[in-house]
Amino acid sequence: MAKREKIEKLILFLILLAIGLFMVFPMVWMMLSSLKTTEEILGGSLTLLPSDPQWSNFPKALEMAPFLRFVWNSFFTASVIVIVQLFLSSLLAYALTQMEFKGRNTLFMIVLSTYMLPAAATYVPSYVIISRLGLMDSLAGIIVSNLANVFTIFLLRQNFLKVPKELIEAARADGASEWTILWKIVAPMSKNALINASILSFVLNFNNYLWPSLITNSEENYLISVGLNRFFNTQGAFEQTFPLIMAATVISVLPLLIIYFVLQKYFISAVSSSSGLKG
Amino acid sequence: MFVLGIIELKNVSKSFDNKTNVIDDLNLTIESGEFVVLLGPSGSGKSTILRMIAGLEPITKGDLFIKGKRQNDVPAKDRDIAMVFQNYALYPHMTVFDNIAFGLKVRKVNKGKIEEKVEKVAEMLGLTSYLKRKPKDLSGGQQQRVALGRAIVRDTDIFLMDEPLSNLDAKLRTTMREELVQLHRELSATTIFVTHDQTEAMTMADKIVVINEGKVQQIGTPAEIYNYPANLFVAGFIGSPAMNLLPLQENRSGFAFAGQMIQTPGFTTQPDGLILGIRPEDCKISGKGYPVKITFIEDLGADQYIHGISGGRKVVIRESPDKRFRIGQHTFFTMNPEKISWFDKKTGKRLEPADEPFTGDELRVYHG
Amino acid sequence: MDKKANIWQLLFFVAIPLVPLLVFWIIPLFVSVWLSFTNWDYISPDYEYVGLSNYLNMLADEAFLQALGNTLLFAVGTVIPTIILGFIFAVMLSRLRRNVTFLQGLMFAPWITPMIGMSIVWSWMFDPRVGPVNQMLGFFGLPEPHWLTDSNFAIWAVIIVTVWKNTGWAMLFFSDALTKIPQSLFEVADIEGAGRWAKIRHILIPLVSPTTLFLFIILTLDALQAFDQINVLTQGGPSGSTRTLLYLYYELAFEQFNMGAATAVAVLILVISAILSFISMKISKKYVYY
Ligand SMILES: Nc1ncnc2c1ncn2[C@@H]1O[C@H](COP(=O)(O)OP(=O)(O)O)[C@@H](O)[C@H]1O
Ligand SMILES: [Mg+2]
Repeated sequence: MAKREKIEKLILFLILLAIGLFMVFPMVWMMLSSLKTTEEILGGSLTLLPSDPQWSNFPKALEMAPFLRFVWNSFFTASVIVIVQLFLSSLLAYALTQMEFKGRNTLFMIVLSTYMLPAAATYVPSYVIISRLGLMDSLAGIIVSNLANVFTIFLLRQNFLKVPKELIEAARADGASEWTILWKIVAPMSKNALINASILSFVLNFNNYLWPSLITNSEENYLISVGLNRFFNTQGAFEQTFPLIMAATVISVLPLLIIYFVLQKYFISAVSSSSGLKG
Repeated sequence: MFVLGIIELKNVSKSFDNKTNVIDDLNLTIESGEFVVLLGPSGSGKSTILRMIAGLEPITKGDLFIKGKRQNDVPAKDRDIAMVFQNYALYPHMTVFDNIAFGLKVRKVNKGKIEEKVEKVAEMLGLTSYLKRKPKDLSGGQQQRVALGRAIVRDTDIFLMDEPLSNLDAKLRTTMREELVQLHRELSATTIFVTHDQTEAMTMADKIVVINEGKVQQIGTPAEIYNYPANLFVAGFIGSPAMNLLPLQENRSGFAFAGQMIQTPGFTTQPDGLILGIRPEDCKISGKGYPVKITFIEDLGADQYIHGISGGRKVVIRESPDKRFRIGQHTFFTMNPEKISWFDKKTGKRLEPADEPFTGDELRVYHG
Repeated sequence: MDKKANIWQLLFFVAIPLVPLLVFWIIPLFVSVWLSFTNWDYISPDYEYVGLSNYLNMLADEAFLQALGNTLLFAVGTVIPTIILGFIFAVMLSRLRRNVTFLQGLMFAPWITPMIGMSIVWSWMFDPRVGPVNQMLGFFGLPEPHWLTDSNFAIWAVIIVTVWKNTGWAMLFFSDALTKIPQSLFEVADIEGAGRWAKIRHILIPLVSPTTLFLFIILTLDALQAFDQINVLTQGGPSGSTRTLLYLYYELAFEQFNMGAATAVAVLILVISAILSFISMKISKKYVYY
């Protein structure tokens, strides 16, 4: 029986491995293509591996558009957004779980009800608001307009609820302020939730496209996806530049992918934790 | 005549890590219709044994026979055994009816028959008015009955129960104990019942199998186990408070305890150091005997347990409640010599007196 | 007892965090609804109230009806395969002891990548001449469609990319749900005589149904908001065959600056989303077992 089970597991593993490789195939293909010559690709040969890796495709792509600047913009805005989001969401989640005030439940219901609504429905008025605030075409505009994150509030609230009431009451009895209780007791005890919320929010903001593309139009303010798509739209029609486009795409995809494969465990637990929010 | 047990484990070992044996060379025969209790401290391997019989854990070494057929390679679903889990393992999304009916449904029993059987079982267990509820709307005791009902409805002749009462409160546990014994009498199915609670074992079992660290320590009726513990582990584990186990000093003229010589019988095997075992109820406070200093008095109403120090050892003595003692008092106690058990200090095994051999030949003593 | 908060604490802990939520979510949602009753064109400062005419025009518009149909097809076409594949992968993974994280890591990787970047890659993978998709199909002797330029296939190309990106995510949710089912339920089923299929049908599927429902709602809302992949792969074409409601909204608002018509579409998306969330909340109450 044990032997049969082993064979069964091996077969299962091989099938799943094939599926997994299929899932990462586009990434692999992208990387290999970025190292080929135009002729090699257009020649229509079926070979997967580049015969002579063209590392020079990368400097060439970087010459055509400031991709490193785009990556930095994405990294910078996503980081600032995550930090401010965590700060604001912690405050609100703390108030919603540990403080008593009139309309607390109503407030939570209002916040909750925006959770599943489409962001796109806010774009036209938000667009006007951003321009009235003088934040059009700036990284500050991207940051400010992405500060609200109902999901993070939701996740933190759920975890703050798990902090034992006695701990908070004891701290209050010792004369600790609400501020101290939040940052010295509640937040450290919800460390995992904070990490998970940051990971998810960082990925979404790093890869964000539609909204940043609407409110930025000078190259120095492009996020990586925006810059890449503009580059693709201006160059993509020419098959000659195909390897360069792949090189540029590698530059846009690789940073997060590397972080992901290094911190895979954290990413997976972050997503799993978000599944606890249903119901 | 050669009697086959309905369940037989022959030299069964189990290892999870291929290094240490959690169950080590276990031999056990269970006869048809018996109510057998596997008793042992938590972690001793009771569940593992039960799960191997059920087919939930593969057997690492040795053979399992049920009704004479080797079962090692038979999957759980084909063993036709019913099992009750400690946490009940009720399907949360099914009603009580569906929970009880599930085993019949997957065996493609026809609908009318299922209904008839489930209703009969529900009536037997007093569940008739709860059939439409989901498990989460039942009390612990009711859930426990559903788990039982699910086992009973299958009409199998082997029941496995893994600590089925341990999640109930004390009072309910006592009533369920009686009900289970009653039920066993009605169904007369072979039952293997796992528990770490000796009271459950003593009150329910036809036969107790004491297990420690994956090894059988003793097999016998409750009385045998209580009166003739096969080794120091059983002696210490069975009985509450436990048997007094007093190492004796050996000198040239014999054995002594607390400075008093102790008369020892001759033994069938020569002991290597001697331990005397005596239950609290077989000791008496008295004007003579072994000196004891009372350290603590436990008054239970019907009895009182006198805890004291004698010969540098803790001893417990049961006394009738009307006598007056005080803590710190220096006095003496005696032992009923007929009730003394003797153990080899080195091996921990029970020693049988040579001159009056033990006659109960149904007592089979297995040593670990 | 929670502490009764004073006004300064409320200002700090509640009012400040609510500012971005109010300014960029709640107020814009209401403004959107209001704009949908106007004919504002973004450029001119003036506008008029036009009543329901944006909505009436919308309903009479061929392009809108096509977009509605596309959205429906896109939603069904992405949500159902994503859920089914995610479930199957999770069940298969749950039978393995080792290498689970490694395999999950491979399957989940697409979710991490930027949709824009990977859509660019896919647009070349779908290339009829040099792309590996058709090379593979050709190898097996299957038809080799012009994925992105044939209006019968374009939406399927977009669907394939979306399913590819989200399946690993759904798989993780199911994996998490599966680990939360007590092992003893399967053991009981074993003892009761249930085979593999009976266990999947009577225990696994019903017990993960809260997750299935949750994924169904979230993925549908996600489908309603799909933009990046459509923008890169097909720009809504060919001949409008991949123009979803959101894409239509984008064109109306930020290419034609017809804010009234655009916000009318946005309000419709909003209403559909709200109904879906409402239904999900109602149903999910029924599914809480524990
Ligand atoms: N699945 C398992 N993997 C590894 N060790 C196990 C497993 N199940 C039980 N054990 C070990 O086997 C021993 C016996 O466990 P168990 O049969 O559950 O004891 P009991 O039921 O008597 O409390 C324990 O030491 C336990 O840690
Ligand atoms: Mg156990």
